[in-house]
Amino acid sequence: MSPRPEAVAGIAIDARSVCVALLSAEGDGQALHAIEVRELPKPLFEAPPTAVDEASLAEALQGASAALSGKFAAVRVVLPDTVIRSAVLDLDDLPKTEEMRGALLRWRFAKEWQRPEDALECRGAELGEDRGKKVYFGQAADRQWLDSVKRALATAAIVPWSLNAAAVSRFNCFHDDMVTGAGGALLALDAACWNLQVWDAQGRVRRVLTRLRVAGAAEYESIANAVERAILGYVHEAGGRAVDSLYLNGGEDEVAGLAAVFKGRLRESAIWLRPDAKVAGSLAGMRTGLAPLALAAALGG
Amino acid sequence: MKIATNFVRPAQRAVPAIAAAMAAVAVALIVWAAWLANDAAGLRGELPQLRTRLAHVEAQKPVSAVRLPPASELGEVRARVARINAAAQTKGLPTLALLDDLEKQLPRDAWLTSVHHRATQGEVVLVAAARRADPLSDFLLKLEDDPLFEEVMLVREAQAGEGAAVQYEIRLKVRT
Repeated sequence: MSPRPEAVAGIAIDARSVCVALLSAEGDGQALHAIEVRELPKPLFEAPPTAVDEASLAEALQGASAALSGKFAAVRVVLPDTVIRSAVLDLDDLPKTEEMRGALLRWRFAKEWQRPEDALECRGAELGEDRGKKVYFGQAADRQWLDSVKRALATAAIVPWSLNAAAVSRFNCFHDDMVTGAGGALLALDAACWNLQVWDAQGRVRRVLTRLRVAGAAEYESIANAVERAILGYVHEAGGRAVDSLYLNGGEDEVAGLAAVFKGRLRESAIWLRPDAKVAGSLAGMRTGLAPLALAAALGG
Repeated sequence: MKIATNFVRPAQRAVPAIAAAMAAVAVALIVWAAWLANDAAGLRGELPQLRTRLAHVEAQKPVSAVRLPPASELGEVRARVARINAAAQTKGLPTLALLDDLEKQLPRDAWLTSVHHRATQGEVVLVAAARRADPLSDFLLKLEDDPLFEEVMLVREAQAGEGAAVQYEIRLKVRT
């Protein structure tokens, strides 16, 4: 049992900015109290972190989290899916100990990421069994950046309750809206990357795909093609699989553009999930930039 | 199925344990404080009785001033003590140590017939005897080499008759 905080806050950090969304309890739900955005002087995550990067991040966090000062708030922090990567493994047998599972994840992500194993910090979660295979959700974070972000949070006097990838935050936030007993997919657009998560009828994440964004006139078409291929690949990999709905999340303008692309390809329209619809109150900028992700973090962890 | 991974150790999980520990410490401190208060109350209750006893004891205590003898008498006593100390003062080694040393130096076939230790003068007069003169000569030489003695002197050599024991009377000056 944990003590009940008086407020919840979501902090989204991407390469160029930091956004803090503060919610406070109102009746049975949550009310939007503040959204603060701070731009960073130099992009993060493109090279190994420096003391200057860390100091500028700490300063941005301090400035954006002024509304948190003096409050006992549950703070949930999200990092881009390019900094914390996720994958779902179908294993014949699950390694017995946490240590062995960690070693497996490090080996797996080191190969994918082309990084030394000790440069990664991994987490995993069992998702049960499917057709005799153990389904294991794994994540790996760039250790250097993870440590740097933690230090910056400490410098800004922020004690996070959780720190995770944007994909996990979104999935948990919209879980009750999306997971309705049928398979589905969530496509999320961030400034630097897009992320697709596909789940099965039991509500277990079965595919996670993250790709860097390539700016261009036909970017949304290109994303739609890749998403279509990934979903078809998942559905046809084994019998009995289906993806009934496609959900979209991201900044208002981008989601509208993507929805238009998918309109001609799907029987039913893609569903735009808006975290601001889950809270009372309205603030300028709550549907653009990093704000939807910060809100999702605050709501979902 | 929500995903429950986390890249930080959630601080909030430790809060109940810390709160429980602090509550336990607080309860222990309260119990201790209550015990101390109770103890203090008991001691405070005994205070009037102890004060009464103290006053009673002080009232009964005899007032007696120690009378010293007059200064002339004290001076005489001091002088006597100094004389006795001077008389009792030995020069050099005590008798027990002297006998111990003589026992070590004395050859197997010789013996002591008398020892006179004038401790205040640091002088020893002894008579050693043996069947023949050789052991006594050895004894004399050993005493001359003995660092305890400053001076070794053969005072007299005697033999009562044919076949009787030879006797050496030796005077020693103890090194101070």
